[in-house]
Amino acid sequence: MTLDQWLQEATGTFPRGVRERLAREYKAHLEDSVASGGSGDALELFGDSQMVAKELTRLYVTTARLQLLEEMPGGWYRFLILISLWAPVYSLSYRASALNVFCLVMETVAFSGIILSTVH
Amino acid sequence: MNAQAQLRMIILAVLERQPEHGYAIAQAIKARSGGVLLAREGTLYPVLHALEADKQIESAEHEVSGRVRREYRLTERGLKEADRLRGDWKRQQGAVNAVLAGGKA
Repeated sequence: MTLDQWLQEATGTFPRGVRERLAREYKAHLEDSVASGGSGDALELFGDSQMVAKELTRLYVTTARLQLLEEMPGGWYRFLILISLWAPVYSLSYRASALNVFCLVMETVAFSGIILSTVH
Repeated sequence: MNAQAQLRMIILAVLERQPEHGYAIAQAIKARSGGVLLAREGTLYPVLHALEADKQIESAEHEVSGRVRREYRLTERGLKEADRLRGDWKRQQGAVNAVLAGGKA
């Protein structure tokens, strides 16, 4: 698989700035690998692109989620969504913290509000 | 300690020696582990970015031999976290070894 194909699968759903930084890093990594005798195949070197994409969604907001945020009415509502989307909830898997619990509560409140606002 | 935490721990351990860019970190992990760890190097960058978001490492782009490379370095916070994770790992290893030692009759 070419690097471009692999990158499209692994990073294609993220905003441009995130995609560009990751592309530079993965490209540099592949170049160094080839210079050391590697095959240049992105899948062989980097592994499953979907697994990498899943890891990245724990850290970065996707373009689709950002668009959802832009379409949400009300400044305070956006603030709640931002906090909940920013939270590194994945870290709950190995380390709980008051901040993570707070963000999880905010996310629940925010999305309850979304459901209520669509019903009325 | 899950796989994610292990990878974070070994990346911090590599950067304790000196700042490195991604490919060099991957090669150091593979060399020191005899090829056992980090079979697929794509998982390295999500973890590096997560460590940077947690302010345990910081990065900057540099030109190296005509190529642009992003170099990562450990912060004070990262150094403390590395020590904490190392302690957790030793305790887990000790506990597992104790159970295994008391296993077969």
